Amino acid sequence: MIPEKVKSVLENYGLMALEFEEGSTPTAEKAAEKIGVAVGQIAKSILLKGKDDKYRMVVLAGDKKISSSKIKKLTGVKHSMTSAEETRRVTGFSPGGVCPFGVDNIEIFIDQSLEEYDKIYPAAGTDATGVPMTFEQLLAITGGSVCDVSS
Amino acid sequence: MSHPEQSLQGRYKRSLLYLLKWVVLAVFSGITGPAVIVGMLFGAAAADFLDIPLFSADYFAFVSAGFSALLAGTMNIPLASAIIAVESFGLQYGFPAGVASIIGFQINRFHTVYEYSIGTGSGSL
Repeated sequence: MIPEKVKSVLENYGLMALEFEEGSTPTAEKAAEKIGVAVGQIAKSILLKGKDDKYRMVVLAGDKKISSSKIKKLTGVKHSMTSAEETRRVTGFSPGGVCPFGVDNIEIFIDQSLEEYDKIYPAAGTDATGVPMTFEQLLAITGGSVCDVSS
Repeated sequence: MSHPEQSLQGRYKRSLLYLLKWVVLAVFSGITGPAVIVGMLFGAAAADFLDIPLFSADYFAFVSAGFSALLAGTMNIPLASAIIAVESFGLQYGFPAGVASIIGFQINRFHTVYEYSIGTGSGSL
C-alpha cells in the first residue's frame, strides 16, 4: 500500500507507480529482476545522519555505493547510516522502501550516476513498488541537487 | 528541550563515561575483552580507510571480520571466534567472520596467549 503523501506527490506529477506483491523489491537487485531492467536503473534512496545532527538523503544508482569521503567533502561533516528504527521515524518509510518523495526538511542529494539512464525507478514508500521516471523528473519532484557521492 | 549549555555538559560527561568504559574494559576484562575491542577497532579502521560509510552493512562486515580475526589469532580458536562473531553480529556476517578467523588463526597459529598450545609442541599441527 503506497503511503498517502507519496501518492499525492506522484499524482501531482502524473506518475504511476508499478506495484508488485508485498516484499518483492527490498533490494536494488531484486527490484531490477522484478521490473526487468538493469540494476543501475533502480534509484536507491539512503538516509544519512551527519555529525551536525542533520539528516540528508542520497539517491544513487542501484549498482553504486556511497563514498563516505565524498559525502564529507560535499557537506563538510562526517555521516553515518541511520538504523532501521531511525529511518522509520524520520521518513515514515521502512528500509527497502525509502523514497525521496514526500519527505520534508531533509536535504536531498541526487548522484550523477543516475544521469546516464533514460528511465530510473525509485521506490514509492514500500518494498514492493517502483516509479518509472526520467532523471529530470526526479530532480523536479525532489528539488534535490546533483552531486557526485558514489564510488 | 534542555538548555544548550546543559546539553553540552551532558555530552561532555557522556563522552568521558564512554572513554572510561573502554579503559575499564581494556584493563580489567582479561584477554577476550581487549582482543575483541582492538579487533573491532582494526576492522572499523580498515572500513574507514576503504571509504565505507559508517554503520552500513559493509562496515559491520569489516568490524565482525576484525572481531573474529583477532580473537582467533590470539587464542587459537578459529571456529569458536567465528561462531561468537555470528552470535554477536548476525548470520549475515558469518562469511566475513569465518574467513577472517581462518586467516587470523593461520597467521598467528604458533603464538598464543596461553602457555601451551597445539601449535608449539613437537609433532604439532
